[in-house]
Amino acid sequence: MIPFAILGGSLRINHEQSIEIRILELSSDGFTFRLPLALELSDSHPEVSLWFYDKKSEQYRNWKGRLTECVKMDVNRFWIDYQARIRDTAFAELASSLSREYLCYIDWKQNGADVDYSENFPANRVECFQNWGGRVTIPDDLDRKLQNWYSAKKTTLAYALETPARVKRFLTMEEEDFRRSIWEEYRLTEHPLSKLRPNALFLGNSYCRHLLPTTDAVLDVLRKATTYGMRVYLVLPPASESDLDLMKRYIVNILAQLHTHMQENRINEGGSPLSVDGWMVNDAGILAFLTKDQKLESVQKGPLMCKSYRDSRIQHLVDGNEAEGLMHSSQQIWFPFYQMNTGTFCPLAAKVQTNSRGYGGRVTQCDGICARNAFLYPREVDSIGRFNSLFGWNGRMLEDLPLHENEWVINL
Amino acid sequence: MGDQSMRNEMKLVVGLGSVEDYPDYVEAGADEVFIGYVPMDYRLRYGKHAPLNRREVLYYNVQIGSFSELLILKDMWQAYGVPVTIALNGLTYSEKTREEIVEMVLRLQEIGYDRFIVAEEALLQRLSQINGITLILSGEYGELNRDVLANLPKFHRVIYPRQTSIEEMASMVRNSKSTGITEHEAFVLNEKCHFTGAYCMSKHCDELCHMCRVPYRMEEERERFAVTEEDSTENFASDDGELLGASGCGLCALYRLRKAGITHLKLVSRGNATEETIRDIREVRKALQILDLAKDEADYRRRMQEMLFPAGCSGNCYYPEIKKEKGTINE
Repeated sequence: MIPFAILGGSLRINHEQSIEIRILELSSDGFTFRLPLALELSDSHPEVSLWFYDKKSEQYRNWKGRLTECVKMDVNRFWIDYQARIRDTAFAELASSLSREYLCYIDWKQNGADVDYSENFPANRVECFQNWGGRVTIPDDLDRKLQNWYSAKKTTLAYALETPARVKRFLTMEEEDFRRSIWEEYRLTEHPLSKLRPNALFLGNSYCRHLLPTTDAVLDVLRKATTYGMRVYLVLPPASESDLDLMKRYIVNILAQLHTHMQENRINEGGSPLSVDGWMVNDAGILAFLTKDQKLESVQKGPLMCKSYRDSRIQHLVDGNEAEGLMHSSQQIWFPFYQMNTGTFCPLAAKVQTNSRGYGGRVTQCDGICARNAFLYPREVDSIGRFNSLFGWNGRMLEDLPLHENEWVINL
Repeated sequence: MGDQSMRNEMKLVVGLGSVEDYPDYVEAGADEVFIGYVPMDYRLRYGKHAPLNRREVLYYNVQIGSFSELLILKDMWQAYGVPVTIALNGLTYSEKTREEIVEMVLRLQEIGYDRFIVAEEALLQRLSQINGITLILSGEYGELNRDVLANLPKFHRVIYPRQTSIEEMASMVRNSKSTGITEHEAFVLNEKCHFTGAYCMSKHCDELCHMCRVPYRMEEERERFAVTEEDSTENFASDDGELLGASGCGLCALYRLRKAGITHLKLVSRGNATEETIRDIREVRKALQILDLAKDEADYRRRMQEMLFPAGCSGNCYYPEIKKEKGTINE
């Protein structure tokens, strides 16, 4: 039986009705197909429309015509099989082409390697970052475009502080040095984006709770960000059932600290109260906790929850309107890394502890395995393990900046 | 005879990739089957870039292909009595495709299909407005905690994501009593993934292997614990169809799953060889029979392992906390 996805048919069964049919067997002069008992054919030359998938173009090629002959072959309790004959050169060519492709596919699946990548691996993360950065070509007019974008109202240029190490770096360095140090890792200190001071920070991690900053670190980041006039958004990962109460306590603790700070400021009659400008969450449970229980308003969905904008590589392979729909109405985009997979049973921890990514369980304590270890992938797939996740690198985003979005989060 | 205090029977839910297999799966012991269906006009418009469900492959039989086959399958359903659920568990749809899906659901309802597995919240919301259909929340939604379940539109059954521990499921079952969820489904066999389905944005397509199967190296390999020198290769989810549960197995956990309140067990099989799936169904049924007769958990596991895994199992556990109790994993 030929998969319907590569060869589908539609048969006219009467003046008003056509129905999708499954092609069972195919040859250059016909095919067999199946109908339910209730739709027994009376016409021996029905009209049929066939769709042949062409792998190369990823399109379907259509053949329409009348069957030269259509004979009942086999009847059982549930269906009737028919043998159809077609005398048509175009049909014969399409059938032969599909048959060749399908047989090649079967041969490849049975005899070829399912995994057919070279084993050309980078040595370490440093090499990955430098290689990727080295391939970025900065257009001449990028600086101008960027300045225009940044000077428009309501644009957000943010940096992601996704790990304790990155938070520490922010807290211990002057902003300009901090920013330069990040771009230096990618040898992209000449990129115009590296010259712009961000006006926001996204503090926390969308993927792993072990990477969340301590309450003290949150307050320290808020204090420092305030001096630079930066807004700060807190990012929270999804919470498993085991972690749910712990996450809620974490949130309540931060809110309590902020409240305490606000009270102290009132008493001292000076200084700006520390405040989190918004929360980014990645599961509906925490979202409900923040909005319904804590009555917070500035809550938005994060990359794992607002699924449609996670993939920054959407190539607009459907028509323009649909592509917009796929991109959703998001105004925020994280780049140049994009998340591809995340494991709530951390695959990195599993590999370190059991030598297999798939044999792990819930990690209750973590001493920062992903600071020391990472999964490296063949060079041609431009991917790397980060945290409990697999990310792809899209250097094109640094060349063709997403000027249609008004919130950028740089997740270098 | 048997632990009478816990005799609620768990039903076996099996993925069906081809209509011809339905009678065989039913006769082997499936209590329910689930399928995928992608109309040709949908494919013509959107190709494979807006998949209707989580099988984006074209070149092998994972979807029930044509509308006429759905009619055939409905006749089979009526004859054999084992219900069929349709998976619409794509992670995300546009507004336009979502409305097309709703129209498709209404057409399917007209021919008797009224059970759907859904992963996208907006689609769930939309379908919950249609009378007479049963909605099942796919594990691909990412319902990791009880508050997620409590804040979603109403549905009948939840399928817990792969990386949910038994204890977590038990907690979510206990806390879901007021939500209207009456059935709870857990994975039991095949295709355990290193990653969480709800957060998997890689395509399961023909052209490329799954991202979870792309070779990799680990940076800073010197830090590894509880690993011998011989354990230097990855134990991938295996394509070796000979060993039961080679790509993922939860059979050791059946006692605890039942105790946790799980009512349905998912056997992942769409696209798998028919013979293997029939074997899998029969083996799970044997495990369930042993469960019914077992005095306690230790008795169940001993008897099940003796009968189904006399030469040892794959160790690829869906519920590694059980394996941990044997001292294999340090957490």
